[in-house]
Order: sequence, then C-alpha cells, then structure tokens
Amino acid sequence: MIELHLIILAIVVSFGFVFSYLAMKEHDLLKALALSSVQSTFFALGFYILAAPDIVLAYLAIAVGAYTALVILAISKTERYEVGE
Amino acid sequence: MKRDVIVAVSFLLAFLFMAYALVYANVLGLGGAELRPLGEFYLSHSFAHEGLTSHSPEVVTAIVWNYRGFDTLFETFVFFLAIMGAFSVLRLTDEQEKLVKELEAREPHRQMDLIVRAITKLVVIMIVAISASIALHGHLTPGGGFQGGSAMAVASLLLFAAFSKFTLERKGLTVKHTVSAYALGLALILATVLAPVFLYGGKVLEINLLPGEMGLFNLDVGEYLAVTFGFLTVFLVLGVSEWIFKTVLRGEVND
Amino acid sequence: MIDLLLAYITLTLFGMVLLGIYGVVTRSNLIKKIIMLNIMGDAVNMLFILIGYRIVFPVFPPIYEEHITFEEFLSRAVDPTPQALVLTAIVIGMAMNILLATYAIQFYRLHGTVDARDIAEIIGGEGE
Repeated sequence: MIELHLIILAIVVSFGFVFSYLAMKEHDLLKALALSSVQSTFFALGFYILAAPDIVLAYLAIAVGAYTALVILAISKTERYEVGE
Repeated sequence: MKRDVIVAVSFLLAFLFMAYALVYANVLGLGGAELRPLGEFYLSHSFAHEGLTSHSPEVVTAIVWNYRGFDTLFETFVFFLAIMGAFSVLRLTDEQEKLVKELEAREPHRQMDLIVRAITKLVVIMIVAISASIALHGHLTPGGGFQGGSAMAVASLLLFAAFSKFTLERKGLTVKHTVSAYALGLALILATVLAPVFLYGGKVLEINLLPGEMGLFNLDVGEYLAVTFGFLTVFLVLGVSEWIFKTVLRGEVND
Repeated sequence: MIDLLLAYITLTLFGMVLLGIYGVVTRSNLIKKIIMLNIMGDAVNMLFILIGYRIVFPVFPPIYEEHITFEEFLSRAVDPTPQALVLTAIVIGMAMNILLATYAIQFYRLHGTVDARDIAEIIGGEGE
C-alpha cells in the first residue's frame, strides 16, 4: 500500500516539474506566476502525502496566498512582460 | 553561444553525478523503514513524563520552540529585520508622507461590488477563527504561530483586495498601529524567553520551568501576532499607488 | 518498485532544482528570477521532507495521539527533524522574497528598469 502513496507523490512531482518548466518558458509574468502557483498547489498535496501537516498549513498560506499577492504587487509596480533575449 | 554549451554540459554532468549518488550510492539514505537516532530521540522524549521532555504531543512545535528554541528565536528576528529592511527601503520623509496623504485623498475611492464585499466579510471571519484555532492549539494539534500567522495574512489580503487600503486605515489598521502590534508580539516572545531567568533562576529559554503549557502557548501567540502584523505592514506599505510615489519622488528631484 | 519510484521522485526533484538554477541564471527580468528562485526552494524543501519519510504502512505524522500505543507511534511516525527545519526555511524564504521584491520595486522607481542587462549598464558593471 505504501506504493500507492509513492505513485501519487510521483504524479504530483511530475506535474510540479511540468508546470515549473512552463513557468520558465512563459514571457508574460502574470501567467508565469499563475503557473508557479499551480506548481505550489501540487507541492502542498505532496507535503500532505509525506505526512507533514505542519508544513502544509504554513506552505499553502504562504506559497499560494501571501507570495502570489506580493509578486502581483511587484509586477503591477514594474513591468508585466519580460523582454526576450 | 559558447556559454550556453558550457552551461548545458555542466548541468548534464551535475544531473548524472547526482543521479549516480542518489540512486546507486543512496547518499541521502532514502527508502529505509527505521528512524534516525535524532528523530527517535525527539519522538520518544517530547511527550514523556520525565527526562528531557517538553510536555507537548506535537513534536514539530516542540522541536521548533523547545529543543531548537534559539534557532527559532533568532529566525523571528531575521524575519523582523527583513520586514524592517523592506520598510526602510520604501521610507519617506515627513513632508513626503503629508504629500502622500493629500494625493491619496484625491484618488478615486474604488472597491468591489456588494456581493463580493458581503461574502468577503463572512469568509474573513471564518479565516480569522481558523487561524486563531491553528495558532492557539499549536502545541496540541498541527499548527503553531507561523502557520496561524500566515493564514491570517491571507485574511488581511482578502480585505485588502475586496475593500481597499483606505477602508483598512479608517478601521485603525495604519502602518503605525501594525508596527506597534508587531512589536507587542516580539515583546511577548522576549518576555517568555526571559521569564525563567528572572522568576525561577533558570537559563534563557528554559520554558519547562513555567507552569503547565504556558511556555509553548505564549511563544506561539507571540509568533502569531508577529507574523500576522509583519505581513500586514508590508502589504500596507506596498499598497500605495505607484503614481503617488512617482509624483512624490519627482517633486523631490525638482526641489 | 519502491526503489524505482523513489529514484524517479528524487531525480525529478533534483531536475527541478537545476531548472530553478537555470532560470535564475538565464532569465534577465528580476521578478522572473524571484519566481524561479522560489521554484528551486520548493524542490529543495520537498527533498528535505522526503529524507524524513519512512517506508512503512500506515505512516503517521509526528503528532502523538491517545488511542495508539507509544511503541506503535515510534515504529510508524515519520522523522520530525526535517519538518521543523523546513518550517523555518519556508518562513525565511518568504522574508527573503519580501526583501527582494522591495528592492526590485525601488530600483524600478529610481531607474525605470528591472532588466539585469540594463542594470549592468546603469551601475557600470560588465554588460553583454
């Protein structure tokens, strides 16, 4: 049965990897931020599967709530689009 | 172009090396069913009746505030320094503050419509209750000062988005008041940390000398206040509209 | 099976760490650098928690409950030490984000750019 936990964890981590890759490729910073919050949500699920309820409570509120709001404020005060190379 | 190749090759080498170390040599010790000695010590002592115990069934809070208390104490002050650093980068002189007040009065008063505001009021009450329960039961159930404080920061952000910064300031949550409440939380932490020395003749942070669960509870409440009002301070400072800041800064250059 | 899954998970997480480093190095926007730095930090935190995980079933969080015996708790609960460290790391990471975002905003106000190549020209460093 422990395999089931690890399979769910593997799926969650794979989704986290995919969404962080998409966030790196995205030139619109608001979209990149949204993709990175999706990755954070998956990771919160992963922390729950790893039997760490304390981390889930802190991580969900900080990574999906406060951090996203902070970066949205920072984007609204600077530039929305990243200049490509 | 040459730099890109070097970066790609070095990343590939690092990945292959770590793949070998993690999978074949198992340097992290993953996949075992047994505990490490330090983890076993914490698990078996934190709720024991004698010995090096912290009388708390929640082992993570016991480690954070009792076994590794100094770490967390100084971490709290690192958090304080980071927020005060942000605050001092964005600081303004007294005349500029007055100018900001005047310009803010001229700004159109925006807030969301009635449905959003009514629902936000309900949700904020629920989040405040949950965050208080997370923080105040932090030594018994999952949670603690950090977790409760960050949940509370989300509640203040919701108020910030649905109403406006001015509504919060009219209700008394100005920057001066939030910094004062932050300092109150830090003072509670310092008082709890120093109480064993002055009341019972113990050492700094020897909170087992305090009656009952008072030590862990007080530290959690202090951390709750500190984290909540720390985040609120930052968002109040960053919430000033950008054109106001630009006008004020340009005025400074022209003088 | 378990070894294969653990190897897959750890290597994916390590790949995310490398992805974060790559993003911090190659992207030139400061806000984008902050986002990638956070992705790297998340992957490192997850690796840390994974070190404390135990391959037993059922696995308990490190919180003692009354209706299980102490021996059972000791044989099933995960290691609490990495969790306490990661809790500290998350809050300090957020404090670091606040400081970095504030610096980026203030730099934009004073110089009108958050692009690392322009910043190198402004402060007189070696731009490309």
